[in-house]
Amino acid sequence: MSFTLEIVTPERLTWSGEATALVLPTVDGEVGILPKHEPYVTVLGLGEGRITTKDGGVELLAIIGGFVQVRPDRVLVLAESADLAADLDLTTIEKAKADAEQALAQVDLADPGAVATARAAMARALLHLNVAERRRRRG
Amino acid sequence: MASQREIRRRIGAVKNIRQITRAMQFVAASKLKRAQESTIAARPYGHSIDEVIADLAAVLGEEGHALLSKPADGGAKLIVLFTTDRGLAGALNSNLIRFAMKELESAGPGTRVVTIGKKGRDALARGGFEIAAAFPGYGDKPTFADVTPLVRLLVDDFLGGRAASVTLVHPTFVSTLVQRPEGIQLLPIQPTADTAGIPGNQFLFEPDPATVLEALLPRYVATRIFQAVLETTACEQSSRMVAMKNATESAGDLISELTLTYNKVRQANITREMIEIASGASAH
Repeated sequence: MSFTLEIVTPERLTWSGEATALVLPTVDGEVGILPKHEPYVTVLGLGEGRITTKDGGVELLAIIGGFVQVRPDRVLVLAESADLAADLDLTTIEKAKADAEQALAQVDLADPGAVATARAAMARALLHLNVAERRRRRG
Repeated sequence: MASQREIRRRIGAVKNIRQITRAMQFVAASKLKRAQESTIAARPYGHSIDEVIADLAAVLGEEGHALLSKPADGGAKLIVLFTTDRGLAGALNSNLIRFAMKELESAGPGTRVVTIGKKGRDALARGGFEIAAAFPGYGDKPTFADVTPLVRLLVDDFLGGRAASVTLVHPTFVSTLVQRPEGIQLLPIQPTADTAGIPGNQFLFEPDPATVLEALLPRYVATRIFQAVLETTACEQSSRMVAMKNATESAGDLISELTLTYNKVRQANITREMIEIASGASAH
């Protein structure tokens, strides 16, 4: 048995298709969603998501923020940012991490907005790094 | 009548202009394709967030959150005007600016304006309007993260009581030929009717509806603003493409007109020279 899954961000449709299981990072820890889940809405946090596709494969993805809506006809993941591990490029991430480190070192501590932005960039780079490395280890 | 050489120079100049406008037309056409694709790609997100807000509003009522409830009447309005940084985009910017000025004049005193894009800022400054904040345009490839500072400013102004309502003035993409300026109220948020077909109270909200709403509303505002930015980009490119297409065609017309004049002048010169030679020969 499977359910229709769509993962969208404000910028694009990241993934859509039939899935048999889905694990998502929420603000209160991970949740697993299986077919015939009851109607459900929750807020997503920052972390790794896993899609088990209909043919048994597992797709890893990096998810930041947003929410998930489970409806009787399909499951909608509306993430602020969602990237499949297969789409992540290690050299780009390393560069983003280096940029984030530099931004954190130079940030004006009196400006909470700038500090938050720099921290978010760092968290994003670290998450992408983790997810990309885990995918490589799995092969 | 202008001399032969002068007309030839003018033909050369118009041909150069035509080359530039044609290049701009093709550049705008390819950027328009990208802009349209991202506008369409952003739609599912906006649609779903609308639905979930409608569900939540049905459960919690209007008093559920400060961003949903109407503040006391008589407060100052805040108008956000989206324009482009660069010109040569037909009547797009002037239509938007005229629309915004009408809104500003009809709105009561104390109305403030925030501009996006250089064209709007320049025009309103010339018109003697006071600009609360001016942001540069978001370029050809706007990303969701780019709009965060603007979102923070608008939400803070609304929650801090400095603005009783926030209205976005941006062009809407009707077709490649038609872009219409539109004023849409952003804050306080007006939930749409529930269209999902599932009553909101059947959903299980975790941790609880109020927390979900708290996390969702700022994101909703950001999504709306991002969509306005995307629409502005798509309209800019399509308006520029059409304007440059017209300019290329006019340049072509001008070139054939000038070529005709050039040939007439050339023929008149040859005829005159022949008469001169003939009359000189007969004089001998």
